[in-house]
Amino acid sequence: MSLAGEDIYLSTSLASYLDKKLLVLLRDGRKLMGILRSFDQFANAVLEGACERVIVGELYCDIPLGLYVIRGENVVLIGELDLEREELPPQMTCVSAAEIRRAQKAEREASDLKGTMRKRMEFLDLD
Amino acid sequence: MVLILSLSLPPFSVVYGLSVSPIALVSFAGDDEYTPCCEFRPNITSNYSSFVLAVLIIIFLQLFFSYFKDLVGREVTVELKNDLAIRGTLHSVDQYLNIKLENTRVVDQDKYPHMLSVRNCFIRGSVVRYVQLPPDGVDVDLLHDATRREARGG
Repeated sequence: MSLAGEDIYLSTSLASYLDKKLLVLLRDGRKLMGILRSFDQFANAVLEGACERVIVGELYCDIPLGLYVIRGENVVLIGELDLEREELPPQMTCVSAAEIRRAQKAEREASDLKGTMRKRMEFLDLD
Repeated sequence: MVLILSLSLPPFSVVYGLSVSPIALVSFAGDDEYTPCCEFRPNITSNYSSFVLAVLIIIFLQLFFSYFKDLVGREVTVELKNDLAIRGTLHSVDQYLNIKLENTRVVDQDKYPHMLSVRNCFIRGSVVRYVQLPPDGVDVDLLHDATRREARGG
């Protein structure tokens, strides 16, 4: 896509994010953080030093992943992390990968339970 | 001011059996008049009505692109398909309606703690559900005229 003269600055490209530490939100809800090394017109991206930040309630964990190539169709949002600000609220505690997985599983089970309970109540049609 | 865009649209060639590349749109800013002139090579079976539909869709894409370009610098709230709502200043937009926002803040910050330090972001066009605009951001009459012109065929 080529733009003439003064309209060039309007082009939305990821070029200004190159070599910066970014937060990438994916369609499945995952949050990846890493340095953007490459991109293309489909928003495919190469992230170096990628880690997945898993947040469950007040607990969080950064799981290192290495070099990632992300297919653009899965990208929701690419955010530039402001290094001067805190990335997370202060009360959150960092835990190990195993513990965060346990917490994730517990949260998933709780929401599944809530779902089935709701379905049972709806069946009873109490309203 | 003349804005020249050239797009190549591979998805359309698959659907409509045409190869349409490149398409140049010449737009004269200030009048909101533009004459599309497109160059295409009919491929295997070029159906006239499919071609017309393809051109209309292409022109239509440009309408919202042009409209968002005029909104650059305004405060907007973008609601995504995953229910995340982000408020920010519209920095730029592109042909896919990807949006770049500056000075962003998430509407429900406590629900999305990971977004705390994000101040600028790039949002892929395909995940946008709504773009909430300031009420005085819409010149309804101008938009009506432009749309009527599209429907008539430019």
